[in-house]
Amino acid sequence: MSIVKNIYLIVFMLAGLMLAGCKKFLEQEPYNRLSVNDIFRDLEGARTTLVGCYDNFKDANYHQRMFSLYPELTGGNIKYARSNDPYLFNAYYFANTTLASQNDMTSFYQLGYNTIYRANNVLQYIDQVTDATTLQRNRLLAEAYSFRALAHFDLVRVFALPYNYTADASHEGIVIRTANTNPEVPVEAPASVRAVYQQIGKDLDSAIVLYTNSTNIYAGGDAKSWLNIDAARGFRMRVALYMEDWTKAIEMASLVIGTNSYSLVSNSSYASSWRRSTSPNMDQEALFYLFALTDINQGSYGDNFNAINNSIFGYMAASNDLLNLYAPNDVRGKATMYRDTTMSNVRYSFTRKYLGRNDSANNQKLIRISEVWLSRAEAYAEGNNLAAALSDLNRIRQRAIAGLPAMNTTDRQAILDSIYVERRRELCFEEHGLWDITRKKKSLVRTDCTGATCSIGYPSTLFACTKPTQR
Amino acid sequence: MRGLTAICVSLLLLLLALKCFAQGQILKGVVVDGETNLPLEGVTVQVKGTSLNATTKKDGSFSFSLTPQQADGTLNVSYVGYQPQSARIGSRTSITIQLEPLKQELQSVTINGYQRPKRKEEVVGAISSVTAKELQVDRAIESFDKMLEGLVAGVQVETNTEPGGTPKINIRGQNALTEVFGSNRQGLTTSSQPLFIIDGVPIQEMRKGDEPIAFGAEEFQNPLNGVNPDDIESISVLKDAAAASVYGANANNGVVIITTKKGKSGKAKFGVSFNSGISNPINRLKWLNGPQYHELAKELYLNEGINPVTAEALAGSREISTNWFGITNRTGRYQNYDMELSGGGENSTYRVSASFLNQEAIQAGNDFQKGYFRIRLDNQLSKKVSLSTSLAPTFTRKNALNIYSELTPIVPNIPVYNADTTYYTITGVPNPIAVLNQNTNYSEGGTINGNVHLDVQVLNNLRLVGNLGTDILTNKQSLYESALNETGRTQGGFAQIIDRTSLAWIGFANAIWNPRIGDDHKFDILAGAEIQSQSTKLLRGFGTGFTYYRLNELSNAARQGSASSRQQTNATSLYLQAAYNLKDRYNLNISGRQDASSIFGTDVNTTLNGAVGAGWTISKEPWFGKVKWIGLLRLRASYGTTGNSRIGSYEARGLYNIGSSGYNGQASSDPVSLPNPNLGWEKGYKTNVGVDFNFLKRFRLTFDVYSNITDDAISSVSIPYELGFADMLANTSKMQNSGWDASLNAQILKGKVVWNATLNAGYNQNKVLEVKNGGQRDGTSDLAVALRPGASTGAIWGFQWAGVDPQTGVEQFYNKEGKIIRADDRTPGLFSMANASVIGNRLPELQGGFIQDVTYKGLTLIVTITYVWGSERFINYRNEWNGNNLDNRNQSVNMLDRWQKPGDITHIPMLNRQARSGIRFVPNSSRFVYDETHIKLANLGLSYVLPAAWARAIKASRMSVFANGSNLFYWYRQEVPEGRNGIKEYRFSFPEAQSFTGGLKINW
Repeated sequence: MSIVKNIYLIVFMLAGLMLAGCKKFLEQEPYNRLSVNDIFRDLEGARTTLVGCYDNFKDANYHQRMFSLYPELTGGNIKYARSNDPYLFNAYYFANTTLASQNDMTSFYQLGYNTIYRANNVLQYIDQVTDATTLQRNRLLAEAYSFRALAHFDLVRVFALPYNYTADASHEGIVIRTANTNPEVPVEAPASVRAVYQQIGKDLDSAIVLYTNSTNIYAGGDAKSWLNIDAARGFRMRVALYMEDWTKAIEMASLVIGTNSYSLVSNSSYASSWRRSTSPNMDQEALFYLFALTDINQGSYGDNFNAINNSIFGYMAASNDLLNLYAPNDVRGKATMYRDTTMSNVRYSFTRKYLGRNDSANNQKLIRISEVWLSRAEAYAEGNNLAAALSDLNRIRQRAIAGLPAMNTTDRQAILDSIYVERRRELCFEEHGLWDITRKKKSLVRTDCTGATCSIGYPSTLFACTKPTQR
Repeated sequence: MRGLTAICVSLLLLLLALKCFAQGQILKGVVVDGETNLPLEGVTVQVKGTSLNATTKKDGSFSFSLTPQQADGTLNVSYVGYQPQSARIGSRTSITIQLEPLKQELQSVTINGYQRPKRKEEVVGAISSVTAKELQVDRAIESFDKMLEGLVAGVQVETNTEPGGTPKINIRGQNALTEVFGSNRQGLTTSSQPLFIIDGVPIQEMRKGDEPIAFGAEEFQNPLNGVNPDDIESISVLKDAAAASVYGANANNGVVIITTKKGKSGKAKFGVSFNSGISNPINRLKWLNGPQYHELAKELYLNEGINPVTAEALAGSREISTNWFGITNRTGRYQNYDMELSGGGENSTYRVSASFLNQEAIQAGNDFQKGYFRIRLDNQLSKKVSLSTSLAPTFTRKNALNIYSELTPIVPNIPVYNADTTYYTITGVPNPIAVLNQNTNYSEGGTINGNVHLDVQVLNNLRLVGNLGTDILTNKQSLYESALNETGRTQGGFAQIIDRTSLAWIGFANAIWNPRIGDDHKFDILAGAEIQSQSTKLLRGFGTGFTYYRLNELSNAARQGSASSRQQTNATSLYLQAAYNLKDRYNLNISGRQDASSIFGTDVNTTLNGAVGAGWTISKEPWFGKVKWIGLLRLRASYGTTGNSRIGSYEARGLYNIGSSGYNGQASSDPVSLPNPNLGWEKGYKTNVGVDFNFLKRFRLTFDVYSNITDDAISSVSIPYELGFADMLANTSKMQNSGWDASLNAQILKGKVVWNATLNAGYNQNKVLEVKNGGQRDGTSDLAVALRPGASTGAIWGFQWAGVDPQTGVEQFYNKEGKIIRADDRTPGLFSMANASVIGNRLPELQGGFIQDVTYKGLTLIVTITYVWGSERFINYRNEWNGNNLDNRNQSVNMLDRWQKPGDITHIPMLNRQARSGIRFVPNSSRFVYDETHIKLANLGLSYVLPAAWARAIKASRMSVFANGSNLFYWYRQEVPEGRNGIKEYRFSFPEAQSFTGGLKINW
């Protein structure tokens, strides 16, 4: 009987104990995944969320296809080498609608804001990361600010008219997200383009300050495959250029150039340097590139131009409008930088910028020193420092054509026009196309194009892609 | 209820001695329980027509001194809970009277949550009970949930024709939303299955949870396969809040409580049973034969403008006609062996049972084996303490190649073999015979259900109960798709093993207090605390590239991969159930339960549910006493809340997934969902009003009217893209199930022939009342499901068919305005789900069963008829796809009626393929919606108790034989033209079987 008594005493005591300890018992963290609170508990976890931002950048809906091709197709650098259901067909004819299913850029829109969401989480939960040193913590923050700025910048360029469309940039921009809010709280209305650019500038400035007092947080990979201070300065320069803040653009460009870390590839090596793993390599010009996987099957930006090996994606051919811009002896021209392929009895040319490892797995340079030179040239020219502008411009011009005499003129407009064409020759397929046209208030002229909206006069609201909405 | 395990009533009067006395006679006798042979104390024994009576002593004995006149008379023996009996005294001096337990009385005891079983007059909630006898466990059905079809008013069992498959059970309609994007996203709505509890331990459900996509291919087994139907003593279905609310957060779909058998004191009883039978397919889909297929295929190519010579060649052989389905069908076999041993002494009883079931399905490559074992010990440790222990391991093996439902039905005008005896192959379409011989897909696993239950009578009116139970489930699915046929050719063979282990445990402690104040006020108050935990571990290994076809272990694969997953949920609960009984006429029940679960965010992880119910036994009112024809008249009403937390996912918590790809050699993590801190529990509001009415001594009617509202039903909603995601889980919808259910039982004949009939009916209407927060969703046209207010959650959304245009052979439809729209109209969005309307409802209006039970001497006949009224089925359109898949797949014979030339009036359009003809194919067409209304002669069971002499010959106490016929006859409301397919052929993709079984049962 006493044993029996003990048994039930034990049972009931256990029951009591179980309930007393239930708070802990009910805080069951999932095993397969980590909750937001949990992942930001240490540096290791926080770092993976940032790597996730790079993953977003590499996504087919971002830099691997949709976002990158958008300005190139609309800007007239690309024509389709096949007719059935090509990518960005609505975008090509400026026919995107608010209906998510009839808008080519829906997924990019979503992914852009998803990247911002990820970056905001880092900024929001940084105080929970207890094992990071101040230097590491600064790097986490710097990258988060950079990603937030870049995603906003990419979104505002696609979905809004250029900064200088109105005198005070008061026209509609995009929704600014600087914090992740409870989904019950209504999303803010789109801010003005000025406000969006100010936010982007502010975030990049914060990143630059933080980078100066930070340390590397990744164990592997080339330093240029991660965002860094020079990339932040480079992008800040690009933002300033769009904002027509010439002083800021010159300041940023000079800082990057002043590091002497990014030399131009020479004329003789130019064509070969665009192939992966050659030496000298175009990677040396890059301030930041997206690292391409070595296996061609894993998808890369280069697939879009690889008609020979990639029958699924490889149909983004160069337009004659672009090819006709090159002088015969230009190293960037048809003979050296393009591969010709006949598809359905038509001969097409495809850029060689992304060759390598079975022929489309090259690192995707998101900003490189050639752009910095050309941008500073533009800023100098706009600021009427013509000598400095010519000096910068000639570096690119003379690198492209061996033996080309230096341009020497006092005609400001001629310099600006030359820079305008030079940018297209040098930076085609590198996410500038349409925006380099519209921010210079020029009309879009696509002659190697069939259809109703091949050419659009400036100004036009068509230059902003319609935003998709959820019904 | 414990008297009902034996099916037939056998009354034995043993004449132990014969002796006459001229004068005066002493009669000594003993009264025992007819089933357990245990003596009965306090039985009233009366000599008929005299004032002579006695009460039995503790050992069941009594004695009389009789006059010769009296000795010629009869003894009347009566005892509460037993059938009264009379026995001739004759010249006997000693007599043993076996009293049979009264079934009626026992039937009316109801298992009610955690409380002690109650008599019907005390029950306030809507509870239906099924006894082992009513369950008819001798049928060739492998799990008890499938057996429930038609047996319980208001419970719809949509059976699953695949052996070991999980049927869908709706108690008073479907109380969770239908997943708009199909079952592979099951994790995103809550479970619609009821909560099953066996001896206090909830059975785990196998369903999709948080596991990575790698586990998407896992095939689930029915977890209720772990319960041996032969071990079931009774099943109670708790339907309203008063009954179910004490199970709180998981009771919204209703609760099914299973009580298992236990041993009885007395000498050891041993029983064996053997049951065997065959089954044959019925209502098989009729496919095109070789020449018919050739004709249609050729016509398709001709319609596409291909020249006749090429078309003839493309259409394949004109002569060959392989009946693939005939080849792969077989006569199914069924064997079931049961063994049971039970007995015990005064303070302890035991019961051990074991069963083995072997089922070969009518489709080759599908069979099912099941082994059960169960041991239960009940010990009275002391006067006040009792301990009950049970342990039930089971083992299952299931082969499931499912070549009908999983493979594309291959064309008929090809041979099985090439001339060189290799399998004939069409690229991309597996040869089913090759699959049958070269592939394997089997699941092996089992369950262990164990329970320790301690019961302590602390005071006269205070009991403490402690219970600890476990439910362990393991399942290992092994799949091999051979490189030799089309299923695995491109990968060089594919092998996969998915291993699932689930462990759940539950502990609860209850205090039960039964105070009384005078005779009029009785209380039954129960307070308890419960703690439970459930964890699931998954492991998957797979490999491709098998160099030698006979070695298909993963280690032989050239490329291998693996994945694993763990999930755990914990919950604690506190509950209270208080019953007040006033003068045995008025009952008031209040119950409440607080649940806290780790599955939701910390802010909302606690929920409170409660119910109040009242009952009034009018027939016990003093003023009512005179109405003779009414035996019982009782009114019940209840209102309360329940919940549904079985969402299976932590998604609401804003989780990061660690990706395997990463960037630049570094691991990355991706947020998979937006956290919704406001996501809370689904809440059920249940109202029930019922009446129990026993009249004319023969009829018992139970009638309940109910309205169940599920509020805050969880579904995925579209959110502004600027939040970073396209959708998230939210509490969006409000849905109502309302209707009535009724059960009428009639004792048509009493006496020598006993004829009982029960009619069950459940009428239900489902309506989505409200969809908030932009949660309105349309699924794809293929699924024809939408979440929209104003219609049933089971509604089929599509387009009303308007026939085939006789001039062009193009299908026509009515749009929402009733105007005709044509399938060749290319207007964008014309046939989008946004323009669809309701063209049917998958949930029935009325369904139930009609059960007849006739006993004559040792012969018992049970006839079970089930019926479903007013539901529609959206069939697989791929069997009549207008020619879209005619080039590589066989079609229904209905395609023979296609439109061929202008002027043809028919219901099958011109053969065409959308990609070439530009004529749109509309899958969600009312052409594919069939009326499911039917009546089924579900089972005919016959059993016969063999003469006692036969039993004695093998020293047995009882021998009986039995036979069953299942799925004997169907009547469908919708008629089908002769030689064509209709609802009965299209209803199940795994063919339905008609079975005949017979068996023998011996008890010692």
